[in-house]
Amino acid sequence: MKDKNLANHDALLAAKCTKGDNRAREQLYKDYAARVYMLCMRYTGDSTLAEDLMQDCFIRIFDNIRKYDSNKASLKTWISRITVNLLIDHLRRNKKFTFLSIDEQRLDIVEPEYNSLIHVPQDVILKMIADLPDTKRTVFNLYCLENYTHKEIAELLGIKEKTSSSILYKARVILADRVNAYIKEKGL
Amino acid sequence: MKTDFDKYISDQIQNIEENLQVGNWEKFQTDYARHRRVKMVRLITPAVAAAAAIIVLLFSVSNNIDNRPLLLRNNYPLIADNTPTIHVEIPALRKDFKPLRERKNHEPTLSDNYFSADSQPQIDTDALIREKSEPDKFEHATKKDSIHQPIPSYDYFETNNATAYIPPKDSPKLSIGVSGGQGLAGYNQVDLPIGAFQYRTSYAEENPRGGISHEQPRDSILMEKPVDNFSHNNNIEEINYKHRPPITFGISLGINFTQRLALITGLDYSLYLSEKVISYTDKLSNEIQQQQLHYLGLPLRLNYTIYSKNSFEWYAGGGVKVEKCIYAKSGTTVLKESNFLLSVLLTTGIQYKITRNFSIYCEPYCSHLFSDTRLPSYRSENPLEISAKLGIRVNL
Repeated sequence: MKDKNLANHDALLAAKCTKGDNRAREQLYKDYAARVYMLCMRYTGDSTLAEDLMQDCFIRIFDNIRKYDSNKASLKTWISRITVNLLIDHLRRNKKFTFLSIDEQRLDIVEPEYNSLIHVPQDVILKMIADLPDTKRTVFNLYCLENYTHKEIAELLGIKEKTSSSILYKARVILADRVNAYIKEKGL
Repeated sequence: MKTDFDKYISDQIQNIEENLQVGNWEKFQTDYARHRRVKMVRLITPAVAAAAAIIVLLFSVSNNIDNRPLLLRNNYPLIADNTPTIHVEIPALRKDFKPLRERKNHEPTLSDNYFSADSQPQIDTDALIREKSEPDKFEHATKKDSIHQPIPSYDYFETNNATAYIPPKDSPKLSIGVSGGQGLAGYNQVDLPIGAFQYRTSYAEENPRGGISHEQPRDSILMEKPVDNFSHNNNIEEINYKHRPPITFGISLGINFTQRLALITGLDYSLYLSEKVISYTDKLSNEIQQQQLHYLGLPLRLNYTIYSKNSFEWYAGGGVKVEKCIYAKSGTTVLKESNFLLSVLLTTGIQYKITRNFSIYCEPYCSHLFSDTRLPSYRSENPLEISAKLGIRVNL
């Protein structure tokens, strides 16, 4: 029931935006600005760039809002997809991807304890993700936070699934090391 | 497969945006309005240009049809009684610069078409008035003598502002040209992170047609050798490219629809040379490799003659060009790219006729590449390219 109401709400909002209703556009912008900004922030790791990209994302969203189908996905999912695609385009255009050394020797992940991890503040985790190298950050975001499969990531980035898997593994290793170091430093 | 660690991280930052206050609606509104204006201009401009081109084409074609001379035997234009506007003027012209008595029963010859104005007698206005007052005599004379009239010179009509029918110049219908040119800008130096090169080549290898496929590429491409000899070398610190402007040679074929409008096509060959400087973390000296990209292109454009006087002609045109990389080599590695490249051309040029059928021309042009190319070159870094061509043209 709740889903149906949400779908109706999304469809109505999208329809109004398509017709050029400025109030509807404002509402959509205010509802999803934080979501879009956080996605931009997670993929770029730069707050100024994230703000600029957020504006570009909304331009693309309003340009394509007529294509939104509430039966296929929620507005939040659709907006997230558009944002991720734009971010990938941006990173690709600016030559941020490095797909080297895919056959490097595998390193062991020392995963932090869950009880310790929940005490690490959100902004610290976000900063750790933002500090990952561009390619690793992108793959980690897509796989762990946006729930893309390796096949989808491979298609999106123009790489092999194996490469995607390898990059994700290395991203996990780096991130786990940093989290462990933080936990150790703060005595959590 | 997601690990526990992934889930912890995901849970931790899942709803991080909930209490975040970001975004500036007023600023976005301004940006969006500007974006829509730009978009509108981008949509309207080609439509207006296309409409203008169609109008010019239709106008030129209709003008050409109206002015087409009626022909008698041996393809001599008939300018006597078959042309509606000739009723008053022709007798005067005939009488004045082709004396009937001297040239009666004279069959027209080719040289009759090129009488110079200086050799013609002056118009006798009294005779003109007399003939105009005697329409029967005039009509009779016109019909009787029309076949035997030598043709007045084109130059005569042009220089004396005669109101009589002016036959169009006998313009060639086809032209063949040979040209050579070079980009006008200087060297272009690009510092390319190693990852970008690797990305380009690997992407091209995976997707020879620009699409996404997990299957083996049909024309199995890209590299005859593995990606690149050095791309797996982790000691590479940086790759710098120095791109040179392209060198172009071409042959062209022009089809003249009207005196002003022509369709130009042909075959262009372009050579893009680059110098690749590879820096290593473990070596003091850099490695320098030469890169050559060879392209064959098929241009298609419309030329419009803006101004023409004596032997000079100034024209402008626009169109598209499709190109294909036929051979690419970087150092000792052979590269291939299956993508077709599409660019838009805008050109202007000056042509000088050395003889009736032989011209030389100089043609600066700019082109904008729209397709994405995976091979680094001067053009991949500068999609907008300005060049100039010199050539000769044979008018058939």
